[in-house]
Amino acid sequence: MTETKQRNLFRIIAGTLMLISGLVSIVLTSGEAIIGSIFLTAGLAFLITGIIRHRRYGDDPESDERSKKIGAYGLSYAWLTGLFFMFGLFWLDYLGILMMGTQLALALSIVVLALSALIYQLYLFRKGDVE
Amino acid sequence: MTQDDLAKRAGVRRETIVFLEQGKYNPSLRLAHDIAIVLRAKIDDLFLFDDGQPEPEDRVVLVD
Repeated sequence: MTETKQRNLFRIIAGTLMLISGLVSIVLTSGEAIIGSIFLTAGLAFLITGIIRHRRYGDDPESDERSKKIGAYGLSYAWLTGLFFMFGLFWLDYLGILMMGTQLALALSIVVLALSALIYQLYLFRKGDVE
Repeated sequence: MTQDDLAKRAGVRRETIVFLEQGKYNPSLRLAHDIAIVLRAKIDDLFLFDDGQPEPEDRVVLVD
């Protein structure tokens, strides 16, 4: 079995096990379902990722110089976007224009960082190169 | 040879070969060398660097 197929198989198996663990945990614990939800979500993410990567890439190498380059550039741009976003949040709060709690500010920052990384990488992958 | 065959032998994804052929991706020297080896050709014959400048008439050739 090729290395790529093995890696995807591990993802699918791990995802399935986490999914089942999450479901069992939610069913067995009464009232407190946070741990179970985390396992469920993580298991779903692993499972879906494994299936998509297996169908899309098959025996192809999971990463090559182009995907590593685009991945790195996408993360760099996302970091910069996140920095500007947090900079803006700080000044909005400092000037009293927009007041928000720490939790909301952190959650928004996480979303902006993750989403921008995804968007930049998708754009660069479609474009072909970073230049 | 298919794009898939070339990609496998050069150790990259097929889409990298696709973008190379379309001129939308600049490979590293290493990848250019690997592709040249697979295709049994010279790098100069496979990749043309076009910066829009005309070729100089009196090219400098370094010799020992």
